[in-house]
Amino acid sequence: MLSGIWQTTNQGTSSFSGSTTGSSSSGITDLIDGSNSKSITPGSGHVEYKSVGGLFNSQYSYDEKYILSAGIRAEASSSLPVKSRWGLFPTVGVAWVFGDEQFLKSAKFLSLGKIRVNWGQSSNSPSGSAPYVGSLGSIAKGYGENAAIEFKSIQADNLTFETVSQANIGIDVGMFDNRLNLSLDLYDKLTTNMLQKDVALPATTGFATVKYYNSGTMDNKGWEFSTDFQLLRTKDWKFNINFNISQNKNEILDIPENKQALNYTFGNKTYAYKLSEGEPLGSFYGYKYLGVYQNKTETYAIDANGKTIYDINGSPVIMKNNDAKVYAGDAKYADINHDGIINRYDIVYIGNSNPLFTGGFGFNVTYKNIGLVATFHGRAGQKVINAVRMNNEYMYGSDNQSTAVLRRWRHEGDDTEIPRALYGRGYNDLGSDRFLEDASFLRLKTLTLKYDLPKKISDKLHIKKLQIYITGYDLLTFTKYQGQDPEISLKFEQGLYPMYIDGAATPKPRRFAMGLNLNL
Amino acid sequence: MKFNKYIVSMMILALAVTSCQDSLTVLPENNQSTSQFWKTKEEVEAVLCGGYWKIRDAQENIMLWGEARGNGINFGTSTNTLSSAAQKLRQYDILATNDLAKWDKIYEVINSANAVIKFGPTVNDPSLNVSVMNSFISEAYFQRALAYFYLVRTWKDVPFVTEPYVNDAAPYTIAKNNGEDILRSCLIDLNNGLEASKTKFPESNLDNPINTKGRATKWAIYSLIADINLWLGNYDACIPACEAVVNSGRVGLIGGANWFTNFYPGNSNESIFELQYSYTLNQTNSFLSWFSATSPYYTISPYQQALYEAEPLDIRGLNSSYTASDSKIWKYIGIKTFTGSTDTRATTQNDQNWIIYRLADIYLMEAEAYAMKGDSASMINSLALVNKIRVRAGLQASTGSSDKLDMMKIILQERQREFFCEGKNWFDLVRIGNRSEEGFKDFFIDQEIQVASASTNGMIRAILEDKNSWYMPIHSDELKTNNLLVQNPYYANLGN
Repeated sequence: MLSGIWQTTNQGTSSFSGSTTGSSSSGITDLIDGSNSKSITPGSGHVEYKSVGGLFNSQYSYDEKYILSAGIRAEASSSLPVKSRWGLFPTVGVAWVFGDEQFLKSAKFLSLGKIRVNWGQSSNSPSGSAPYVGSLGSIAKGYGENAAIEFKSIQADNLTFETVSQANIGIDVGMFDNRLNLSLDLYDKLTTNMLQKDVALPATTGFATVKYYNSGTMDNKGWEFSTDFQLLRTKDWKFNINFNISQNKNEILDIPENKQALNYTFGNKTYAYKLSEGEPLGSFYGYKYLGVYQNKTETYAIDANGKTIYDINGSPVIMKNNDAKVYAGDAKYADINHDGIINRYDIVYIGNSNPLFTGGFGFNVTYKNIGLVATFHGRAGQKVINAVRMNNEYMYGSDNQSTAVLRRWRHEGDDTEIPRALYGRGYNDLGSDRFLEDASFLRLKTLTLKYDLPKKISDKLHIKKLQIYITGYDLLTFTKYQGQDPEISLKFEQGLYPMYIDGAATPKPRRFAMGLNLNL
Repeated sequence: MKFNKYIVSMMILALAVTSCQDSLTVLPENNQSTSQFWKTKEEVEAVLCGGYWKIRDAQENIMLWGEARGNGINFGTSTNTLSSAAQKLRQYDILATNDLAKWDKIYEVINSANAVIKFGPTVNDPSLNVSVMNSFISEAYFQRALAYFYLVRTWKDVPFVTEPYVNDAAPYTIAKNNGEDILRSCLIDLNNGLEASKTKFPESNLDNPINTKGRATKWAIYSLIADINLWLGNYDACIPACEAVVNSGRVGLIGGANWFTNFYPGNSNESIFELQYSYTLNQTNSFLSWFSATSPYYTISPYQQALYEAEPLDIRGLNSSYTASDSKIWKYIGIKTFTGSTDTRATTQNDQNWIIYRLADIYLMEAEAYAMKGDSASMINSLALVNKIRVRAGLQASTGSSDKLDMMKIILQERQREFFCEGKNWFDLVRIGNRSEEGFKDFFIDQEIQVASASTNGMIRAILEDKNSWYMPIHSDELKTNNLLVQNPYYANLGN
């Protein structure tokens, strides 16, 4: 089978505006310099965007067992410079319905067996009419008696689209008359020439920014497995269960040039943002928290061999958090390089915000007219920064604090992980693993109980079907996480560093819905 | 083979594949696209004047690079962004985040000049003949050389960009080059431009020659050649360039009571190159708020005042360069030598030009070059030149000295009195401090601590012992965006 499509778009917007104040008469509404006109501001604009694209697909199926498909998409738009304007993006796929093969005919239990392999490319173009075009503009008033013109933007002739290449391999198996279905997919999605917007340029170019710049490579790899199984299928009873699990791992292969490898400013409540080639995005970097210094002896700096460090006068060197000397009761961070100072060189990897697994399961039971449907969703092995706790155990200013601060350190021997209160001083709240928590959870997302009016009654009422149901959302959560809600949405710090940070967003409410479905 | 199940269907759409490349090029209408530019003489000249505009746009930086760490000015209690950055310089509390560590405005000048040099000759316009084109290029060479001269004097080694960035053909990142190599390369450009350069520009008002004084003439180019050669210690190249200006017949020293006309109305007979402001052309500055407000940003330092008081006859001193009661810098806020508050500039006279070169500078550069040569004939020449400036200022002729350092001290004092707050003070001091002759560096440090408080004297002495501290750090934003740059040595361990 062959198919093709060709599209062109042409969008144009024009605007004209003008305003005048202080006209000599309300009757004069034209943009003229009236006797008392204070200002006349005209403005106009015209923006055009054009694109063309075509798609050609072909599919060949032999014996309904061997399926081959291939397609190609061609795209061009006015947002890219001439040299990279046209992009060709192929897709190919093969599928083999091995379940229908002769040698498996004997395996009666197998109702479907299919292997799929796909590979394809797609693209993202920069937005805007012609963002690559460099321009010059006049300078108001000029220089002396001469008109003056300056460069306004730099021409980006090397700008190109961001390319996404995705490979996918999957297997679908249906057994026992499709009562048991299994599906497994492995994918690898590679994004190259990542588009970076408004990239700061070195001032030596004479420009502050370039509108778009291609830099960076990112890879997303993962797998997804899902199954559903019909346990019971009798006249009165129906019982289905389903289960799905997936894992995704993204990795920066090339750091975009405008992003710093390590982005950190020493200070309370700050974590380091770090990109390392070959490591997953969303890693947390910070200090290792070791509790509270109990007494003066504990504040002595220790060298790599476990010996106390002494200064030139023979007295022991006291640990410092950056420039602040520590005292008993202050937060104790691991001095990784044993220099007696806690600073950026003591920052280590403390965890990752990517879940090990994401998944869910559910069931669907029906007995005669009554049905019960449940779905569970969960994440496992995910770390988050509990910023709420970080703010509420800060004890730095006059803000309200949580009751946890009541067990803060006061005297030597207090067995607590919360440092002493220091008003407006010290570094007892540095970004450390103290606030990093495991936010694994399992949540009953929905639970529905439904009842269908028996056919006998509905027929009398001349309606096809009447269903009454009640659904509860987010009824139960199983988690060890201390914050309000472990289901935290992803936040991109500084546009690139994906982080799960709990900023006390309103937790998911427990909701109930009752409804009536009426089919006439 | 079950071909009966094999269905082939086809959809054919008329593919209107025309010359898509051209129809897909959409150019913005509110600016001129780079690819459509460089067609007429007027376009070249407008970019060239954009370059002057950019130098003028950087004027506050230029002034503060030359004055912040000198000993001429003091800081008032009112501040703006750059004056508070300048105070940090004076306190030697210089971080890579200081606003005066930004060089963006100067590189915009360079990019503009580079564009004229590269694309000017490609313009195909019958009204633009070769000699006009070459005179434009000589002006662009001047802009570029002046820009690099400020950069090298302020940062020592900087990236040397000689191609315009109009598109992304060249990599955005670029490493530093040796500052002296940059200046030597600029000297070659300036000398190449001399032949085609203009001796004067047409004026609409001959009494106020804003084009001849506001754009780079042959004499401005010679002045810059002299200045750069003096910086590099090429005394034998500095002297003839100075002579060329002195003998140009286009400029002359303004004597006696008329000295103030250099500043009001400006564009005087002594002037060689000054950044033009004009109230009537809507090009004004903020000098009145910097120097004249009830609480000005900048006032005269006690050290500078003492220099003037040591020579009470100096017509450039009290009531000309400054007023005594409020320590204000009068040269920028008066319309004539101060006799009363009515001599203050009106708010509509906020168009003081910023003088970069005037003839007195040339005399003193030549005097310095002779003094540094040091032979007895040169010393005599040097003294004669210094005395020309002294006598015109109403002072007794100096008897001079046969010692290089002592002669240098006489010349520096003369420069300090002549060019107070004209953006030259710190550069003069660094130039002297950099000389390899015995005692010059110590003299430089002694000059620097004239405005330091007693408690910081020792610290500043210790800092200035390291010559690297004389130059600014590269701004941390620049280091972030250009990974080929290495922070200047004195600031390397400051973190960012």
